[in-house]
Formats: sequence, C-alpha cells, structure tokens
Amino acid sequence: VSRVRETAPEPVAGEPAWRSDVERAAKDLVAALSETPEFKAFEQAYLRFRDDERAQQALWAYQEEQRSLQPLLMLGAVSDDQRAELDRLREAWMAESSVAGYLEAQASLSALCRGIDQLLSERIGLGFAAACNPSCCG
Amino acid sequence: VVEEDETDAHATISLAVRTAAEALGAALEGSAPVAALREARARLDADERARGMLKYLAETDAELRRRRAEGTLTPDDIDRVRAAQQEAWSDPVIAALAEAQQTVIGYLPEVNGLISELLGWDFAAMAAAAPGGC
Repeated sequence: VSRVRETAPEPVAGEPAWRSDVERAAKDLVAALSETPEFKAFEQAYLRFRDDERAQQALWAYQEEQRSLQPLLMLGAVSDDQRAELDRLREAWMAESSVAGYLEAQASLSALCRGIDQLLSERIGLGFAAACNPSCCG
Repeated sequence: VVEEDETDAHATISLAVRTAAEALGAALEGSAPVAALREARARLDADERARGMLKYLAETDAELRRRRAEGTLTPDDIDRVRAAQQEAWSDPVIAALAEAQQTVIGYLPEVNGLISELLGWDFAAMAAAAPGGC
C-alpha cells in the first residue's frame, strides 16, 4: 500500500478529449475513495500488519510450507500430516490480531470496490473488474 | 455530510464515491472504445440474421457440452460447432462486435492501471476478491 498520489499522469498532447475525461474522472474517483472509512481503515490495518514481526514470520512460515508442498498440492498427493501442518500454520498466521484486522479491513474495502465495479459495469455494459482479471480464481 | 445508499448486502457507498463512480462511468461511456462497442451492439440488435447465427452457435455449443458431459460426443458434433463458429465469425456484424469487445477489454485494464497506480493497490483485483478469498 502506498499513499494516494496527488496527481494523475498528465494527458499526452494531441490525445483525444475522451482520454483526458476518463483520466480526470479516474483521479476524482480515487480522491473520493481515499476519503472513505474503508480505505483509511485498510491503510492503517495494512501498516499494522506490515510492522507486526510475529505476523510476518507466521506468514513466511505458512508460505514456505505452501511453496514446498506446491508440487504435491497440484497433484493432490499431500499426506494428511502435511495437510494438517499447512492448516496449522495458516491458522497460526490468521490468529495474529493484526492479520485478523487486516483481513477484515480488506473485506470491507473489497465490498466497497465491488459496489463501484457494479456501477461502472452497468454503465459500460461489460464487467469492468472481470475484464481486468481474466484469470481470477482460475 | 455523507449520504449513504445501500448497493448490495455488503457495502454502502457514500454519495461522494457514488457521484465519482458515475462520472467515471459516464466518461468511459463517452470513450471511443465503449462508444464503438455500443454501436456494434446496436448493429447486431438490428440484424436478425446475425442474431440467428449467434443463437444457433450458442445452441450447438450447449449441445456439445451436454454430450461431452454425457460421454456421447461424436466427431460430427464437433464439426457442427466448428462450422457454426466459422459462419458466425465470418459475418461482418458479428466480427465487428467481437473486435469492438476486444478493444474495450484491452482498454479497461489501462484505466484500471491508472486507478491502481494512484491507489497503490490493484482496484480490479480488490473488487473481484471473493469474500473469504479465492
């Protein structure tokens, strides 16, 4: 997470007017979004999570285990013990208070973004986020 | 003062955000790629023959999926879908619609990139995130 930039990129000279209209409107949307409680809570929760050494270590341990088991996971060949250990590491990570706060803040912001996406998609007659995430969730 | 509107079960959108989102929607609607898509759709709506070809393609495709699931798929079924696809894509109205759609699909990530760069995180990925994660 980085702070919201003050300005949108300058339109290139000679660009059609609709491009600068879209850029201006995108910048205004970001400005409005950055004032919402959901956005502010997410930024704070992210910083808390980022600075929480225990949570970062727990995440690292979970991701390392996940990486080492990846070939077996893809083949569906993990043993019960390996699966249990992976679940234990995931639960240990999620039990950290900064993680729970971060995931909760992320869920709230995500719901808000879905609402915005719905408005944009209805207007253009095509799923905005879907067009930008063709491979989301496989 | 912030007015709030229920948009779905999970989120409320402040008036300021709603207004800004609608303005972006309007700007996108006025963009050349989306305007071209709207025109291509209108041409399809006005063309009974092209609509018929798409309907036939959807039906043959659904039939192919059904037969595949049942394990009764034959080479003839596949040939029938391929022929329907070739016929549909060679129609200028359908081909123009597909091209216009691809242009919009190519343009929207550009807009998302601008929004995401300003935010510092991927807006579309955040919007597409399922509750509880993928």
